[in-house]
Amino acid sequence: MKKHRMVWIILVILFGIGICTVVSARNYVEDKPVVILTDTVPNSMHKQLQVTAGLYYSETEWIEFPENCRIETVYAQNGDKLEAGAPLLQLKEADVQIQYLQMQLQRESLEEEQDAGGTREELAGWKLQSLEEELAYLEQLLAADCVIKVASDSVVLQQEYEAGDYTAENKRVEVAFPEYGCYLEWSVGQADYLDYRGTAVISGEKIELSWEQPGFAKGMYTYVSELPEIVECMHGEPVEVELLYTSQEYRAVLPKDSIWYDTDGSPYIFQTYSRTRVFGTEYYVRKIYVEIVEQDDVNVAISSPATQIVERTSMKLSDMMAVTVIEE
Amino acid sequence: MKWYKSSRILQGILLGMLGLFTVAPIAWVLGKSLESSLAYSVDSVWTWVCRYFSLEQYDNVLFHDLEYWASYWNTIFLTVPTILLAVITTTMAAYGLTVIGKKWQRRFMLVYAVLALLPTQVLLVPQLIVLSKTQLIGVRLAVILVAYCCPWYVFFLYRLCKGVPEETFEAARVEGAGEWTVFYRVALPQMRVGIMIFSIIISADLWGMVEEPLIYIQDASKYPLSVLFHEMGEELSYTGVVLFSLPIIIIFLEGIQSIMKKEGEGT
Repeated sequence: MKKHRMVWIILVILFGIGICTVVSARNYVEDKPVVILTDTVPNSMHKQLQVTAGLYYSETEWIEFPENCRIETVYAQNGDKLEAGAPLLQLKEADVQIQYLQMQLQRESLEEEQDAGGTREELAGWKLQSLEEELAYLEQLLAADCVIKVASDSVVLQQEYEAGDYTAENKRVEVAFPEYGCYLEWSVGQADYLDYRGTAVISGEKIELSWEQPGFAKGMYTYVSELPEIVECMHGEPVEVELLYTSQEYRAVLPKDSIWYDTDGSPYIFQTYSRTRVFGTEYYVRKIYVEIVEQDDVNVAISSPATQIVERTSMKLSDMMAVTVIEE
Repeated sequence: MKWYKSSRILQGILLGMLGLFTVAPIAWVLGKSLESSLAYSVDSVWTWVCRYFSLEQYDNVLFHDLEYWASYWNTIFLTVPTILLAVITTTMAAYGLTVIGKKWQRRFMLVYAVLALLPTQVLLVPQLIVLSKTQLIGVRLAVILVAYCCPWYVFFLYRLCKGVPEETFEAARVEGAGEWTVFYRVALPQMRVGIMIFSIIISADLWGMVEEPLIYIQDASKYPLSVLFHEMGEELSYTGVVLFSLPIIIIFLEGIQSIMKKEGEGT
């Protein structure tokens, strides 16, 4: 042993180097984070968009009155719910009768014109037809004691008359018919990418919506969605509607988990490269700052396409860090 | 006599300063290799002193730096064959030059002198061309072949062999020994101490070679540690240097001790 002391020293040194190499190799595998990679793909963003829509009755009607009749009694006010046949207003009978007589005179005059023949015959015939309808309506009204009633279950939307007012063009009575259902109407600027599905909560009930091509007006798109079921509502009531917004297609979209943020909020990704090391080829990550164009709950669109991006990692990464890449 | 006029004190101060100048870089490297990463994050001097020394860097390099050890093996794979080849061939060359006769001795030594005077950088290009033509670029053998045949080595061992009394060779030949027997049985045993010194010197030289591997190997996976030191982070390079130098220092010390022992036995 003493004779070959130098040989033994060299062997011990080599053994020590060997031990260190083996331990380092084992730690090298354990210390490295395992990463799963992804590439950017062309895709669209999908996100929930909340808008305020107006809820309206699908069927409404303006009540017609004979002209220049005085309102004697008002039975219903705005918002009243009326059953079929319920009184709305009562007109003064004398005024209605005057209107009726006046129309009868007009009818006689028109009949004479019609009998005379000539160029005005056709026009007189047409007017006469219209007048007959109005006379029939007045006859019905007189038979009902000049009380105007609703034909079916209704809701009074607009009632501007008071007792003593004369029926005039600038005052109207509008009723709606709930049995025909309601619709929602809203306007948005991003209509091109709105999906044809959405939800609304009306009177605590979640309702699935669907609609067709929107109407376009003044830079905004107006959507109308008929409600699939009859709901209790107020005409014009605001309702929050959740819509699915689908963006335009972006060139470079990747999962949201692939984006990291600096302390100052700058977004970056880790891109994987390979390098030749003393012990062979090694994967490592580079920190690359990116510009986020748009994002939704799941994906992020960045300004330029990239490949070999770290999507998931087993431990925290840093720039130039060696990693183990596994194929998913 | 005033103290400052004493030549011994003056000599002592001068030598002390020179010694300090020589030892300072080594002490600095050793100190830095023991520095803890926490040393930067403390405010009081005492805490800093307490926290300064740590084996953290050694742990990192010894057990967590695979690249370091892979390069270490590359260094061994380059150095050991080169030393062995250099010792074997140069010893033979030195013996040959010694026994070849004065006329040829002068001629060969002239050639060696001219070659030895050429700077390494001048030889790099022709060597590169030759190695390219022989398809040896990128192979460790290229470095071994270039590094082992150095004219200085022949000079060194020639002078050593020259010191062996020629009469011993003559006596062996008279006894019927062939040239190989004379070399192996007579010359080598007498040159043993010199060969040991020679081996230690060229080990230190070859252990830290940079240019040859860098130019002839051109493959990071085969570079020795001396080439890759610049790629190590500063926090680990001090420890790396210490561990890199340690085998050579141990071999050197052991070699010197062994030589002195043999010298003692000789006298």
